[in-house]
Amino acid sequence: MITRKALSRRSVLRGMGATVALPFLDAMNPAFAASKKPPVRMAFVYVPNGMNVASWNLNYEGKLDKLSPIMKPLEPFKQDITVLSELTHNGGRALLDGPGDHGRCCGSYLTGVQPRKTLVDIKCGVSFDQIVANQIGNQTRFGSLELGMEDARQAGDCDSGYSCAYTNNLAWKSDTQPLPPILDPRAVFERLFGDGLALTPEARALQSKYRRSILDFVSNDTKRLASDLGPTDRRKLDEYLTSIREVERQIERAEKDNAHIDPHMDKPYGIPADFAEHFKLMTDMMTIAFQSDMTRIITFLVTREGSSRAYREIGIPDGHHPLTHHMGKQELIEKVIQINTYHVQQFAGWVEKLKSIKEGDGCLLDNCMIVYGAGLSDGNRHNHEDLPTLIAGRGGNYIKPGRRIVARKETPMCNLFLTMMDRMGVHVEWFGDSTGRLEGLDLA
Amino acid sequence: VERASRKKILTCDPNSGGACVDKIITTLAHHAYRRPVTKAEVASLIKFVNAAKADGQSVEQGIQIAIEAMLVSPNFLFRIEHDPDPTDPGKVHRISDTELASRLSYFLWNSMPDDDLLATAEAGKLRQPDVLDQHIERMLEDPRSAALAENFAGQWLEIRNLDSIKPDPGKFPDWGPELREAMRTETRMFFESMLRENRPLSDFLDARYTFLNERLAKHYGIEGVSGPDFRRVDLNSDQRGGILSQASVLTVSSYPTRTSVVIRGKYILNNILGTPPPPPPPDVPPLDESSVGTAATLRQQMEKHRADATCAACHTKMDALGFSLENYDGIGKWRTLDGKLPIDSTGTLPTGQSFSGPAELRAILKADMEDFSRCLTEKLMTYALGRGLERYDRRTIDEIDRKLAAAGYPFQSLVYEIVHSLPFQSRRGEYSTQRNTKPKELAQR
Repeated sequence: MITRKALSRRSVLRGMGATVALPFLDAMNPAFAASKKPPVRMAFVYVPNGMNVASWNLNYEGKLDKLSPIMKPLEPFKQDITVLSELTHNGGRALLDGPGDHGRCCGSYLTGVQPRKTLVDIKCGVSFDQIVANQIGNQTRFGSLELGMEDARQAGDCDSGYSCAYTNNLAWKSDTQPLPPILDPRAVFERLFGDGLALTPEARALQSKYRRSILDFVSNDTKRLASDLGPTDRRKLDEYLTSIREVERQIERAEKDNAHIDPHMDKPYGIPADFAEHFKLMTDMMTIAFQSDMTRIITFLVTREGSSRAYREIGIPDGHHPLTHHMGKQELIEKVIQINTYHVQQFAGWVEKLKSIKEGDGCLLDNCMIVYGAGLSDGNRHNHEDLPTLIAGRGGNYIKPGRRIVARKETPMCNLFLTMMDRMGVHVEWFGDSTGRLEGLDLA
Repeated sequence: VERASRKKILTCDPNSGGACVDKIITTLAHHAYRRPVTKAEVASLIKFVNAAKADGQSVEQGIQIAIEAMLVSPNFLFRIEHDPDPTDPGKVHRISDTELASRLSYFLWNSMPDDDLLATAEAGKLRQPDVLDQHIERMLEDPRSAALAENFAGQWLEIRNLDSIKPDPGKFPDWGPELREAMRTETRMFFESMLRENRPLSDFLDARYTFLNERLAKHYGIEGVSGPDFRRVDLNSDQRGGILSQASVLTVSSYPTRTSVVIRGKYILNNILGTPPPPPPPDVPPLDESSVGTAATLRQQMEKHRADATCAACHTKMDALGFSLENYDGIGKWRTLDGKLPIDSTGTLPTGQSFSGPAELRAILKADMEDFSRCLTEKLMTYALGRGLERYDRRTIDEIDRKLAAAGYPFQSLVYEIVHSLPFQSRRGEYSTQRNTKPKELAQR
């Protein structure tokens, strides 16, 4: 449906006179026909405030058997997930920088560095998803997508002197430029599928032509301005110019694909109040983006780190973060477990969806690596070792799932990232505090 | 029917020829870029009109594309201020008159300068003190200055957080969109009246009036206000008065299920006294107050917490301030009981001043205006400049506060003083770490 020769869904529907949604037909998905190997995609689904580790952890290694209470919703997909233990983010630790574990753990999660403790001159590191996007992002319409679900400011103090930029973003394009997640399903829709207007091919071509000349105009204007500006202003303009080039590339890419992707869903109205509904809309669109190869990299910040969201959907009026500091009270611990499980339940819904979509000889999920995890281990203790982590999917017939792998204590999370980068076709020697690649994912 | 916006753009018939198109584009770009535009800039925009025509589109469609281009141009999107010496922090220079016009209009209106202001700037007259004052006066009177209440007060008092805060309907059955909007409106209207009526800053801390509609009046237990419209209401009891008694402020400084003396204490230190507490020192776990169910145990726990010397340094002050507001519940409703236990809203500040209840705290705060005045000056200055304050701004702040004190702290004077101040009228190069690592010869090549 995205390549030139693809049979557009619209024409199929028109031919059949259908007005209802049909399941995707494999014939419309020739980009990855049997002869061509489907690409590997990766996503991160990040949940805040650690977990109740006692109810997350398994007490055995190897083949998955009885799942823990929090993982329970993933029971039907036991053969598709790999549980990882003992992965650590040293950059999340204080290391003489004092309190602020929530700020640090999210800032370091995909960057592998310890963020600078500041409210003003933020400094983190390029996140590894963006390193991958820089390398392979030109093969898809969008280098990467950053999504989230909780409205949050981008400035000010979000944790003991750590800027909100650290708790409210996962992806970092440069060490000073976080990529804020899109929260509104409607905005995601428009980003992916345009304004939803049915234009004739001629009108669409004209539209991209004008857009491109506007971008030329803007980039000339921008370059002209930069001459007598200070370094900070110049950096801002640079960032603007980079984003213009990115849009330019997307237009080019869309023209080359010569196909209008029909998302086969109605344009969402805005942000649904219900958590599960919001989650489903967002992951539905992520599914389409992966399926149609619009992007291969997604980061999804379910709620911001340190979130105090209340979960009335499941009868919990208290804020998530205050609950995690439960002082050993069973009643509060139960609520934390409920929230942790509720999150996994939504995630399981996405896994099910990815599994239901055929691709090549298998399903879409087989060609994905969807990491589900938290930046803190125990939310009450704020520790950074043995972070709750699991991967859904096989990363293109590489991972042998259905197991729990226990790494050596203090194995850097960045080792997993190196292995994932390999799978994405980007080979680097080290990243963050990596000490090597995480071995064993491919062993049966 | 022709839309007003269309009429505003198409001031002449674009099909009448190039002169009209030229005029339309020049006027629009002039506004969008907030400065005179060059012939070359106009020409680069008219290209879009010509291209559209060549594709068989109408002139109007071409103008539409040119407008799209203007609206994504950095000249529109960024407020550009040029530096003759961008990397020399020692060189201070006055910003241009048009740059000053933009600073002024974004400060007071949160929007672009109007024709009048721009024309004055382009005629080189904006820096004449009486002319500048006339514009400030005119712009404060203009309805557009409501933006200051919306944006500045929204940030300063954290009212914007009303959107994301979600009080527990089980604990607070009164909570709902209507009450939330009423809270927001009260604070906005109160701030606006402070500004428009040029009231003394001390009214922020304790005013004998506020703005209510029936919904909010009921929430406050004030009788005689009916209907959805807001009106000015005189306050007769000492339960309310000033921003610290407004439900918006009390709600954004609470947890979803209950009040927090720590958050409220910190709120007062941050936003009223301008002395934010430092983050807790290393190795001290964050204060756990989440399991506190009743005020009595809350107070006990806080006292215990303060027995630790490192915690006490900040919490003695922070908690005491917070306790003074305990008569307001998590959404700002007056209460004398928390559950079954009576509220104890007494406290003693490190200065030795003790108080009982919010009215006495207000009196203490009002008696010493220096801290509050400085705090507000710093916040408004930061908003006006769009940058954090530096050490070298300190002298300006001191000077403004001295003048304000002498005049009895009229609110508008603060605005005038900021606009006339050196930091508002000038800028300096930025210290660059790259500056020294790049030899001159290389840079010139």
